[in-house]
Amino acid sequence: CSEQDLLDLNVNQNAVEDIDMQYLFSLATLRIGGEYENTRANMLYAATMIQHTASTAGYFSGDKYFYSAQYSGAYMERHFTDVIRLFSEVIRKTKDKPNEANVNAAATILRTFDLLRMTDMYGDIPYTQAGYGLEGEQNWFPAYEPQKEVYYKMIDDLKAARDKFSSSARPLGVQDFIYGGDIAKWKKFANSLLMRMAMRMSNVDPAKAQEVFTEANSSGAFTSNDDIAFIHYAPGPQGVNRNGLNDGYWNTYKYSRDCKISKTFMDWMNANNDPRKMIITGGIGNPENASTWITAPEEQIGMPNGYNSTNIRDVVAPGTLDRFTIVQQNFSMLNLKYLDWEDPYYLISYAEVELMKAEAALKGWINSSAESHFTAGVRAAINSWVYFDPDFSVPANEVSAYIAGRGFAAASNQDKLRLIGEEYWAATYLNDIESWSNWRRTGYPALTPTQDPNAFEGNFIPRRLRYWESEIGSNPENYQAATSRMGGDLFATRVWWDGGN
Amino acid sequence: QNRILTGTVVGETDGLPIPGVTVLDKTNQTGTTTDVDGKYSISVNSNSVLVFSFIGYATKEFTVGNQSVLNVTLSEDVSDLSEFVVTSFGMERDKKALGYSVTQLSGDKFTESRAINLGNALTGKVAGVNVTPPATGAAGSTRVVIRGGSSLTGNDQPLYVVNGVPIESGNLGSAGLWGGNDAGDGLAAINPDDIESLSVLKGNTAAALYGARAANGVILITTKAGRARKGVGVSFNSNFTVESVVDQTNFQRIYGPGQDGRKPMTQDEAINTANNGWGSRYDGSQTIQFDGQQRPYSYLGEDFTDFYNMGKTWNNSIALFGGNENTTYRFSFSNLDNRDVVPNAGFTRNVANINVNSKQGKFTLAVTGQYSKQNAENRPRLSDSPGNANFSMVVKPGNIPLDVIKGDPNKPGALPDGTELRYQSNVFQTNPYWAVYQWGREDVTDRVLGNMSLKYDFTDWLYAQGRFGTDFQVRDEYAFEAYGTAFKPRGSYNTTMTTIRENNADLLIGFDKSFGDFDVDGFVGSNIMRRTIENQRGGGNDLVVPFFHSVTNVAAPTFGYGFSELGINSYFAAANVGYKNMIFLNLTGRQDQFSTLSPANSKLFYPSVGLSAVISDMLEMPNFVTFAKLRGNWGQVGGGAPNPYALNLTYGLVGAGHLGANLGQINNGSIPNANLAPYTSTEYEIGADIRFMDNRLGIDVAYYKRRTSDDILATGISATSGFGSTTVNIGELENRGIELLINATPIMNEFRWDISFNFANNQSEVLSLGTNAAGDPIEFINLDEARTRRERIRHIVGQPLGMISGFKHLEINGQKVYDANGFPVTTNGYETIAEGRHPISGGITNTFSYKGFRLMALIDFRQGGSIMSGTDYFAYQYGLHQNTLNGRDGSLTVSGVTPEGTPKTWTIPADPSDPTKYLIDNYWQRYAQVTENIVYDASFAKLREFSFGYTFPRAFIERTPFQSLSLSLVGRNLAILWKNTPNIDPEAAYTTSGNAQGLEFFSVPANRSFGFNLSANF
Repeated sequence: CSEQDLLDLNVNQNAVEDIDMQYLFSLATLRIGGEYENTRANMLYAATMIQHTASTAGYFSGDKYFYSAQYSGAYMERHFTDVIRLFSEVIRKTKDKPNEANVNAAATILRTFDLLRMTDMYGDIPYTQAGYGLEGEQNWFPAYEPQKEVYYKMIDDLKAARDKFSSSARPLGVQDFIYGGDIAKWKKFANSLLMRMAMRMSNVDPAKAQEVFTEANSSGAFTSNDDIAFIHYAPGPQGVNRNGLNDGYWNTYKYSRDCKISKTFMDWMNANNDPRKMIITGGIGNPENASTWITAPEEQIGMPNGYNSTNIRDVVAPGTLDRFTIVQQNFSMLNLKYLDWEDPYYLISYAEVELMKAEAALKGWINSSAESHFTAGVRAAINSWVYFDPDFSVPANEVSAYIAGRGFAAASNQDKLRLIGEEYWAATYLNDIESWSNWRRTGYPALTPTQDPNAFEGNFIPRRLRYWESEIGSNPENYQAATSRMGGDLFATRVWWDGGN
Repeated sequence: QNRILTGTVVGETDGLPIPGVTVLDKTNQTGTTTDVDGKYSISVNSNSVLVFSFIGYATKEFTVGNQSVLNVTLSEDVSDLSEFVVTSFGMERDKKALGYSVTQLSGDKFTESRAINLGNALTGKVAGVNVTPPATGAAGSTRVVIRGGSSLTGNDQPLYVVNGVPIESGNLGSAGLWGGNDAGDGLAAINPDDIESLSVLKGNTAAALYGARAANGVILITTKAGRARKGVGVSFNSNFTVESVVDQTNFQRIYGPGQDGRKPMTQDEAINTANNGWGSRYDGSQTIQFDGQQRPYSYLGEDFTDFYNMGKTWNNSIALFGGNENTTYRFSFSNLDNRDVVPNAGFTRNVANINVNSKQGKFTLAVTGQYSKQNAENRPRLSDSPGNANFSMVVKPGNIPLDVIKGDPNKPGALPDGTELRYQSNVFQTNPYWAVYQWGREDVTDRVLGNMSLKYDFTDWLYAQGRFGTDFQVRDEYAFEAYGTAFKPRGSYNTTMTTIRENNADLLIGFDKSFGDFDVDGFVGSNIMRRTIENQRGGGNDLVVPFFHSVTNVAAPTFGYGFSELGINSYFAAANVGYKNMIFLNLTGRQDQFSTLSPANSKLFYPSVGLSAVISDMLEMPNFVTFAKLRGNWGQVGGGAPNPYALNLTYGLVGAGHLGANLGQINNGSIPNANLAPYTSTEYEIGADIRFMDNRLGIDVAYYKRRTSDDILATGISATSGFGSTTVNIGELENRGIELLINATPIMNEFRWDISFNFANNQSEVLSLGTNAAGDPIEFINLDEARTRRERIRHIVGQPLGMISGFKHLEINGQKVYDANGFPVTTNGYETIAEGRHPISGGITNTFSYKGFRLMALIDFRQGGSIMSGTDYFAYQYGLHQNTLNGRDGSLTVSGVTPEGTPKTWTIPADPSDPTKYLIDNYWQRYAQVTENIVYDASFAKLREFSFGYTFPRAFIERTPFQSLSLSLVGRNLAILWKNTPNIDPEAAYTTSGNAQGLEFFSVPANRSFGFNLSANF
């Protein structure tokens, strides 16, 4: 038997050595909303830290600032290998192919989006080398770069990607689960992300922030809810094409009573007569048993953050816990209508853009009216709920009444910033990682930290998450360099742009 | 004066004639063999000394004298010093002619105490062979490592060869960090009763003829053949054992569930703190539990042993055999039926085996075949908690009755609505009854091992032989997580069908001739090996119809397909030269070419040379020295050809796509390397085999040193690169050690006492792991971690293989550092803590026999390795550890230094009236987060095997149809004689993977077995 016959056995008949890079791009897009890390980083940590939700269960680590190595590190653990690896590969394989300019540019934007989220969560991160292990061994132990340098590089990369889209290159079409291949919208997406970055660095690097913001603004960010960057998921057939955050919530709804609308959030909606209240919450009790299911708006009760099932008795009004023997059932649930597998997963919304513009106008960066941006932002935020469910449509007059009630026009500049911050917080519900970052920058909404003797570092809302501990062992030199540069790897350690409140 | 001497040779135990016994007249160098009736006749004179020898029996010598009839009874060889051993390619060779170390065990040696698993049966028997028992029941895999293994991260298991043809023996899956099952290994298909002998080829020289696959040694299995006799012989063996788990936990049962020193006051609290033994002292008062019911707040005395069953194993086998001078046959059938200690789990195996040998003129034909069907039900989940009943049972709250946890008696583990009964809040800790009764898993393996060879003798010294062997198996498997499982409410269902084919064909031409004082034999040949593994998977999450567990009920099933193929083409040659039957030279060479390597690096040649000198025949020796041999050898083998398709980056599609689009992925889980070459392992060995006083004392000692270079390393890199590992030819390691085997017969008359002692000390050392991108030496590579995720098994340069590393307690100038609360402060990074594998292993077997009685006990021991106890980690977290009793009254003080280095003493508050002043729970939880506090010396000695048997005297059974009958009591793992691991068994690994040795995380508790065995011949 010939030598060639033997060697031919090693040709894999069931795999290819070349593939359409758009296919990789598509899988990576879906994985941004992966169940594992979105449950841990977003649902368990960010949503409770930012007091959108509350829980008496210990594993909702953000409620009382516990440290869980796995939850804290989950986003890093999964996204470099699941998401960044694929985007980096797409970029690597298409960078010199003019006909693949669109997938290259879109992959660059999403890679930047994901790593921006990561640097905002953790601080210094590998950026330049991240996910490029296939390029050569120089990238096997990526260096953590100072957050400022990461920001500067991301800004350059986003602009380059934005300018790279080309109508003569091959379109993305159905492989694009965000815009179906609409490159005009991708450009707006890039500019909107640039605005997000500019705002984030506005406290520590105002000149650069203003320059980036105004350039993005004149290039053109989102102009309507039609532009919102969200990922379209499906109920199946495989886990990877479901909205993973909702997968996490669905489990906790179905079999545990473990997470409710926070009292902070509920009180705020009540105080402002927010028309979103019965969108955000579905009711109290057991939705599968109509006789126990309470949907009257005035009966809704938010759960205070920071308590366990015992000591919560000391802080709620008498009678609050009498309806159901299971303590948690006495508080308002999340609305199941936005927890479907095929519901949108938001990356960045039009509402955020308008609210950022409102702030930019107050800062004097742009000349348009802060009030009209504020109004447009709030309206967009309320109206965008229909993407989850048509029932969530709110009559225009109710929206207007709500906005009028906020009293933006008459407010002081400081109060305007507060109003913008609060509305940003409400608008980014479910994208709690973003809410938390914006809170760290602006201090809005004003939140009272929870008090629990078991808080890992202390009773303060964490300023960052701690790195994935695996890196301590597998990338020790770069990990040590990053933590000594940042002054530690703690919840208390502030990232570069966190110079606000 | 020559005359004719006649006689009959019979076996001692069964009294049956033995055909084919060699009868040699030492004085005249003439000889004959016994016929089918065991009869012989030979021409002798009065000075003649006759030697009767036959494989498996002790050789006997008689001085003839004047008699004309000499009837001889041969006893089965009870020492391990049998003269002839099976070596490479099934060649039987005189042991003294070998320049290397071979240990051969006869079949009865490892069926004596009735281990179900062949690998297990090797435990403690062969110096330098280290066996790790399965983490799960009868169907589990074992880990067998010879001389420490040749590769850092590659396969370190030996090659198994049955009747000259390699079989697929690999592990089919094991539990990892995130849980899973041990899926068994290829050895499970072999019925130990069918084994005639088993040879362990330990060193490179012994194994060199098998090439790359023999880098970790070879275990040669020869199955039983027929025997020429009158009529059909029938042999029957029946065995029944019971197994029970051994509870090695010793937890505190003074404080009950709760938090901050208080017992739960509400239903919510009861649920949230059920697994949290930080409540108040058990006081017997009526206290609310998870279901709202009031029950006494007291420890119920139910241990986890109440959850497990008494395991029961029946193993029956029957063999028919016979033949004449030209053709022999044996047919056997065996049935094994095991009900595991884990409820609802079990293993059955049926094996039909046939062996036919025929010599017709110049042709010799040998055909062996085996069909087996194995069925493993509900292999238990191990490691991480989801679905792992063992986890839930170890940490079960002491005050909730098992009956309550069991719930619906008709659907154990379920609530009335049919979903999982949760008695605590963590969805990922599954109700143990739910896990074992409601989840389902079964795998059925049909397997055929076939082997035929045809030999043609051109002359009396030249022959050609062709052989073909196949190993074909199909494994059908399904597994479901039940509908209503807390962490996966709609369940899952998956099926997999795996087909493994391995074919080997070889052709060789051999010769055997004497030239004066020189005896020369040898052969040249070639081998072609091809293996394909194919699997098809279907299934998915989310069942549509509640509680209907079928792949047809998956909401949106997905399909998966895997295929891999590899081949090795080989040429080999061997030559043996003997001078005056005193000095022997063995030479071998083999070239392998691998399909899985880059063409430029695909060929490798492995030579070996061995020399043996029987000095007792060369020099004058004192009388008490019966035999003395020195041996030395040098050999090279290579190994570690990577998996198929590992050289190049490939892409593939994922499932059915999404919204009309295709989803593509990178197939490689590790960064590929197109230039991989096989590694080379070079070994030399010297040894001596000395026997005294007519073999009543025998000592065999060996020293070896083996260096592996260019080892293929799957080395961990930072996952931020996109990949967690890559594969490179950089590793260098060394194993060196001594092996000692002593056989002695202190008493040898009607009462006989035999001792067999073996000992091995293998010192491994990582010499190099290459350099990193910056050109600096890589100091360590990361292997597995347990679910605690606060430790890693690492290979560290300059250290033995497989070090446990993790957090240590931070010290400043030797003073332990505590934080503001007085909690231990860990080191910033992982530090090396202890060795995860045992360098020292051995066993001692004592056998006493008197008339028909026989008593055997094997004690085996392991020393020098450590283990990280996941059980203790959780025992501290959950306040179950005995140590957590310290300070619950607020009396614990710790002294050390602050992070700034200032000496200080802290008192850890434990005031149940104020949660902010109850920190003793946090203290002990932090204590266990210091990895070194839960790493223990895993050395042990165990009473591994025991049997006490009686063989009925022939007179007693003369009037029965039996020709022989024996009955014995057998036991395994009856006692742990010595250990240092609190709460766990020192062998409690959850996987047999080499990358996780030294990690314990909630596998099935160790069990002991006891039973009886009946064997009869008709």
